[in-house]
Amino acid sequence: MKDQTDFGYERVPEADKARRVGAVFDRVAERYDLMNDLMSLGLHRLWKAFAISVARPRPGERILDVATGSADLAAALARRVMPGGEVWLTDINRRMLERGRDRVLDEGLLAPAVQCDGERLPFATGHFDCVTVAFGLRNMTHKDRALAEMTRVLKPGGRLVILEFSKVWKPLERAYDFYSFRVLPWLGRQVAGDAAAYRYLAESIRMHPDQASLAAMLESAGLSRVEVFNLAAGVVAVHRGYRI
Amino acid sequence: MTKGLIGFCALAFSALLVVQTADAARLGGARSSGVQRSVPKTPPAATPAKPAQEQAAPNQAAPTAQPQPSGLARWMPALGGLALGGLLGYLFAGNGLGGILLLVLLAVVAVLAFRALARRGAQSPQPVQYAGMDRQTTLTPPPPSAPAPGDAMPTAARFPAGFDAASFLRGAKMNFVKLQFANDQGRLEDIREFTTDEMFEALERDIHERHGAGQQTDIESLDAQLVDLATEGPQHWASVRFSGRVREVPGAVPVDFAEVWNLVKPADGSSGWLLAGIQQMH
Repeated sequence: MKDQTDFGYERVPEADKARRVGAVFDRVAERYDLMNDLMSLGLHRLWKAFAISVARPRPGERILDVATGSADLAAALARRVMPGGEVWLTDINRRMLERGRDRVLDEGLLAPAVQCDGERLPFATGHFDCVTVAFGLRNMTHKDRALAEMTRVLKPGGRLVILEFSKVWKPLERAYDFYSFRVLPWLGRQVAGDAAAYRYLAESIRMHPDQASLAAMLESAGLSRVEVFNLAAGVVAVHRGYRI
Repeated sequence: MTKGLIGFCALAFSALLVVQTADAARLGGARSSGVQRSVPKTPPAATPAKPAQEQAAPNQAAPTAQPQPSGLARWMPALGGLALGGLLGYLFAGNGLGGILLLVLLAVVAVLAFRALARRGAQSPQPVQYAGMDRQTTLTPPPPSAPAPGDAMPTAARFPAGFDAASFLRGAKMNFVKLQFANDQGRLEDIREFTTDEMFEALERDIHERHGAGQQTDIESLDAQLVDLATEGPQHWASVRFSGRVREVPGAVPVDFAEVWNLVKPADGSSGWLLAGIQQMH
């Protein structure tokens, strides 16, 4: 069964996961930003701002934003690396990448956009000062391969910053489960017209490695000085590691 | 003494104003220059500027009514804040009562948000009722057969079939940003690539006047609308209205801008679109 992987709580052939995740994002692309605000009560903006402060972008740097989605992170990063820097947007999903590309342009910024798989990045080794991925790693089929790729494209001294849902503090688990499995799918059905997509979201969060496991994966991928920053009692966490 | 001080302050303040004006730095120096064409003063649709991803269907008649917030909608921000506070309090304090309250608030906020959304969706195509016109309603868009003089022409008939306005405008925006950057850096060869000879000379003069000193133009938001597309003799003309907010001096407050760029392209396709003139709209 080694060619099976998780798609939420389902086990699906590895070859199918990318397609099924793509279908989820195709369905929710139009309402993606609104849903993010509703689901997190706007907190996702704070989480992204925190991730940016952890990434610490500087003028002149070259940054890769993997699974850029609607480019919330990329737009903020692009402004911080000016003048002289650049932020590359990548996403496996064309519709989401187009939204991100247009969003960045609407803010008067230029950023190259490349549709590609996070597990096979079409960039030279040691090319970026920083790689970021916000709420994207969870959806990748082989997280270890994706982490290895992101590490590969980092310059020595470069940092990888991951913002992702994580394991919530134990006493909050029941309330969080109720919210995830009852409220979220209902909200998804009402607003985005798609309960299944948001059920997938909740399930995929539960299947994602917890803080310590992900930190260990970063180390296995070759990163050093790995740190974890918990936000909202572990609902999300920021991981940062350096390629030394 | 006091008079002297006031006079000095006034002088210093006016000097500051002069410096800021002289530094007005975006491409073309916020002045009209080059080829000027007859273009509508207002954007083609009376709606506020929209981001690129919403412009895919520029020909739709735009509903202009801004629905007033209903009773529930008025309370949304307060309820949102309450819910946020509840959530934060719950997450950081973590007692059972907070959890119940949080879930109740979440449900309330979600229902209200959805209702507000549904109402907005339902309201916008409805005719607008003006004050003092009891029960009478009037459609806001004027009948297409009688456009008011000076108004934007209906865009539907303007652009030839197959003309991909969304892609064209995306390219126009990219070139707008690129040219601002080239202007900031004094990169004349980049400017020449995208401009006609006449326009290039004007822009080159601006750069020489500041002795090639570097500057920084930060665009905070950018919208582009195609206001005219025409073929005259051997040339295609496109007028693109750019608007948004720009910070022309680092640290200054960003200012609104609106200007039309007149772009020209030889009908034989011997070159791409070139900037031929800039018209200020303010």
